[in-house]
Amino acid sequence: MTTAFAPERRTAMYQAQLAMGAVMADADGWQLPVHYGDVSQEACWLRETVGVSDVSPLGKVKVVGADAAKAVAILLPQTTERAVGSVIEADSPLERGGKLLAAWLAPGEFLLLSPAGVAPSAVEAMQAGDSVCAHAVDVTSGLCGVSIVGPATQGLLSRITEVDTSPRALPDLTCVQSRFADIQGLLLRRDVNRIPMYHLYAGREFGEYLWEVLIEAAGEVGGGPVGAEALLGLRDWR
Amino acid sequence: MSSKSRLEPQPGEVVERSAPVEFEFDGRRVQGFRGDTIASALYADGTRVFSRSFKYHRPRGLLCCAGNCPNCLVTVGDEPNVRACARPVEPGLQVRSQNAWPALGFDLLSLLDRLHWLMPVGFYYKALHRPKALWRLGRQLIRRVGGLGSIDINATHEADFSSRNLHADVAVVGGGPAGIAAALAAAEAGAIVTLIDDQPTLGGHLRYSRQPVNIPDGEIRPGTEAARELAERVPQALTIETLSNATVFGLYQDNLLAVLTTDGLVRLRANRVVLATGAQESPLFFENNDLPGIMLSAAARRLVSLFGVRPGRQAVVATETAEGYEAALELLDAGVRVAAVVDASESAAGEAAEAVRARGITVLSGHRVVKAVGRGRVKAALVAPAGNPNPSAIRRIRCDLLCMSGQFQPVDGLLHQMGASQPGAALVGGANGATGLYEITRQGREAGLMAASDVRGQVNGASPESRPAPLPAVPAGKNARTYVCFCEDVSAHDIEQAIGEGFADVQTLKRYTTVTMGPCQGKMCGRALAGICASHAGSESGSATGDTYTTSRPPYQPVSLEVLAGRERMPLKRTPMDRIHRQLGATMVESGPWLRPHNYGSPADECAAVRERVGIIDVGTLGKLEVVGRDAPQLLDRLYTHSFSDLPVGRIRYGLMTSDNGVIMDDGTVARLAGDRYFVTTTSGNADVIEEWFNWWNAGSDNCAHVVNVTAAYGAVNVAGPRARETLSKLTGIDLSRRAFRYMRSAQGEVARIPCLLLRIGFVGEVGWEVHFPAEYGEYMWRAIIEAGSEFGISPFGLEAQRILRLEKGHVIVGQDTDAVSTPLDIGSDWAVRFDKADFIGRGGLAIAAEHGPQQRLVGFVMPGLAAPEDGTPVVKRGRPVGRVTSARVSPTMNRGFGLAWVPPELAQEGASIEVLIGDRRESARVTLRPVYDPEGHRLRS
Repeated sequence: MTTAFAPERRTAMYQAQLAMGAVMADADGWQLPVHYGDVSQEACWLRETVGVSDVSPLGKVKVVGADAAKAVAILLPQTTERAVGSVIEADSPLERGGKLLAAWLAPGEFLLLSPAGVAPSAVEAMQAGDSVCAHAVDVTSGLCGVSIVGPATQGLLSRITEVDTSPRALPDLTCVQSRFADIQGLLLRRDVNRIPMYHLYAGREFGEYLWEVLIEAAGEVGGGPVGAEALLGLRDWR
Repeated sequence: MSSKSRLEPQPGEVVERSAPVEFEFDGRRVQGFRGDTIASALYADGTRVFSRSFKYHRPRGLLCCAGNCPNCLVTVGDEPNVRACARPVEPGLQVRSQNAWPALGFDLLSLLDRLHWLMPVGFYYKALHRPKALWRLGRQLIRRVGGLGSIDINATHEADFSSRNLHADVAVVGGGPAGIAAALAAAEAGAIVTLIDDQPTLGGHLRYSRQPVNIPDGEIRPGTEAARELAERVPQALTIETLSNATVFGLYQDNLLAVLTTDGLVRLRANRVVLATGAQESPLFFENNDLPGIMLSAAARRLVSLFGVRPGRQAVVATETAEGYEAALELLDAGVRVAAVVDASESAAGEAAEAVRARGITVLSGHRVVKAVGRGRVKAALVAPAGNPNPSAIRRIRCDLLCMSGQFQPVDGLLHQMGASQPGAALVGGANGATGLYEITRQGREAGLMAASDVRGQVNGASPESRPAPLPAVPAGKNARTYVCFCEDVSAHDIEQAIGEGFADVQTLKRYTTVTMGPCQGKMCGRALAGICASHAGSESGSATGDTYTTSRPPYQPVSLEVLAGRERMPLKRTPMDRIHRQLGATMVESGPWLRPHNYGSPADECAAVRERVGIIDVGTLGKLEVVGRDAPQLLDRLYTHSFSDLPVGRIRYGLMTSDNGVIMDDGTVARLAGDRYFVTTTSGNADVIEEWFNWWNAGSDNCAHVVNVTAAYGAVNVAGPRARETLSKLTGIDLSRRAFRYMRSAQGEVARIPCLLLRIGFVGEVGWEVHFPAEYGEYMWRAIIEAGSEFGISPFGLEAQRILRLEKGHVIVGQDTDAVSTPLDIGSDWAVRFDKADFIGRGGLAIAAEHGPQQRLVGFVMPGLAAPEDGTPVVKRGRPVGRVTSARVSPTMNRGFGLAWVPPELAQEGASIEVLIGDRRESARVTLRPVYDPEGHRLRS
């Protein structure tokens, strides 16, 4: 029952990142880029243009059912019937802490985002009993995620989607499902310290393709890939 | 001065004298300056003939200098038909003239001009129809000697055209005074504005006008200064984004604007659109009006003011407008001797006219130019009193520059693309017939405010005072060299002749004469054509259909196909083990939306490994759905033909899904993981469709059942073969023995320390397990299983081997072996249809099918030898096709050709003889109703 090597969790973009010179490190069992050789350059991109980083390990739980809001409210008590496309953020009541985000995708459908490794306990916590019609399924493995951060995010996004992602159309803590780089995805805006930050989630099977498209688009607006080290100064939740 | 016609630096010029740029034109080195266009640099260098005309190879020089006419089309590098007046110079550009042989200055094909009387409009329709072969020959000849630039089909392009999407409350097209006023007003009212201008700097016509103007809230100053001041106000408005050097070539429904920029294509969506596209001078119509040296007065002013180029030494200005006088004044200031201003009106007034007279210039009021004289370039203008045909009244005036200033016509092609019936209805400023800077900016400001106040409407209905411009007057006559269409060499005489032949409607006239169908797409000739039609019809529209103009369609300006195509993106789905397959040297193929390994070198060896040892295949492409909820069993019972509410936890059942009429949609396995939780697999590439199908039938019901697509969440491999059990047992504590883990059972547990779902199924006909695991462990899991199986001779196998192996078991692939009418009964899967359960999708159709019996049956067949028909080959009986082969291969196990085929029921008998085509040869085959490999399933269940 043993192997000569340890289990490694690799995101769909792992190999493409390696090819770009990423230096990897373990984060909650996942192999993630720490940097791509020049941390100061990456920090500069984040502050002046745009940086693209892999956030696939973030926990992702699909909550479906007529009573989905009730199930989500177990973890985020302020969850109420708001407009589809709204995003709720709160401190996690789960043991590992951190922040939770609940994106309302459609009536009876939420995507809960949690720190890495928390999704299984979130699923367990949302078991609301037989009287409630709602089900939570951990889809962490099925969705790749990319964060797009920096003042030039608009320029990047305008190259991959027809959706209006301006602050007026998509303000902080909102989300939209549409086509991005010709594939279906979810774009969620969650600014960090007034710096625009978007999370883009798509099927894991498109991960490598999506990464390549985003890096190309980032290059067109003067940005590039950034690792965890450069992000540390910006991110206040993981 | 470095160039022959370059003036001293001019106020407002856009060239940078300190930055010389060298390029080549027809092998000759030419020097211009940064900011020059190819045309302005060539003109400054003394070039007067820029191209040869489409049909008669007449020499052509600069006409509009605004990117509208065809007269300066050149080939730049390998890009044909570039407008030299709109393309900036760059160091090292290789520019060539086109449509001339052997040279632009000495074009032997210009003999055609002498023979023009042999080639009236539509001559090829009349002359080249008998004998039939004549048309083919004539067509080839016409195409060889006429036309534009040639495409180099071997050329490769490094250019990578990206595209962007922009959004705005208000889009303003045109960066002249009206556009600027509209943009500023809309921005002040709080709108987000995108201002699009096709020039490098804002200001519109003021950029090349030195005449004094009174800008709003400002003083009287020269146009060039006014342009600069207006342009400087725009960046101060923070909500205006300006796209310069950008051309709107399409205006589509819901205010989608297609914009060509230097950075590629921009798709701009705006709530409101203001078209401030200005107006342009019409050319004048007289004999030889296409000679080099004859240009619009705006073109001459652009050369002087923007590029510091003297357009000629001695000029005649023929005008119907005040702008002609302004041009005359600016030519004088540039050192050009103005021999005369020829004004069609009897008494021109206005400040410019007075200033011209005050400077001693001859003004011939009530006169027109009737002919331009010269060969290769204009030498003189023949001028006569308007309406006086007496030859003695004709006056000859020497000139090397003849400026034309016909009536201004709105640039409203974009509006017509939107289907507007009345020009002016959606335009502001010069495009709306406004004259004078005050009125132009007033209209712009009002339109901007209106657009900002109501951002939910369609194209802005700007000024109620819009007024259609008068149609140009084209003198009637027999002369064949008064050109209306400069693109296609169509003269006024040609059009009159066509009208005489019955093509009186503007639409049919266009198609017969090709007028408006050339590179300018009617910008230079559309209104003249309308004017001729109107004068012949004696009505305003001049058209039986009521159309005044020909139809305007995108693109408004030429756009290369690579811009429209954009960057190539091919989103293909990849499994978590994709990179490993490549490292192993797999040949990858597109299988639906997925990239899959077809083989790793030898499908036959891969088959042997599975049959004799153990094989592993990536089946992560299988669709995977989690169906959860207390009503999940009922939902599955409703959607599948089989029953799943009675499926015990831990068991697996094959499922067939049909449409309403009983036709097979999909198949797969359904594993019950818990009382309210099922794991459903679908065919590769069909997961999204089946997910939608589930949701469609579940919507609106009170069922508490939900479907979550987890296809990408799980990687999956199938480990199969006589040593599969031993291989996996090294990695898991789950008891895989025959007794403990039987066929069509499932279990959840750890494999190689990873939580997995194991399904014991056998698509390839050997004992084996599908192992489903979190996708992020894909590469790890593959390596772990390969390592465990190495002592048993494990081998990866690809899609081709899998197809052979499943075919030996007679397992059907939906879509490959079934078609749009196949039912479960037709493929012999009656056992998977439960008529004894409650209603299900397809029950009615299947009941009818069962009553009538199948019309065709899917059966196996075996060839006598190694030959195998191709997929899709007809099954033949007495020389007539009676069915078709769906899948066929050579079985490495039997060493014979075999496959599946649709046949009539009477042939669906064990041992029946059928014939299939192999190439052109008919070969007999034997029908079999049992799998050709392990028909009893002993190996599968072992």
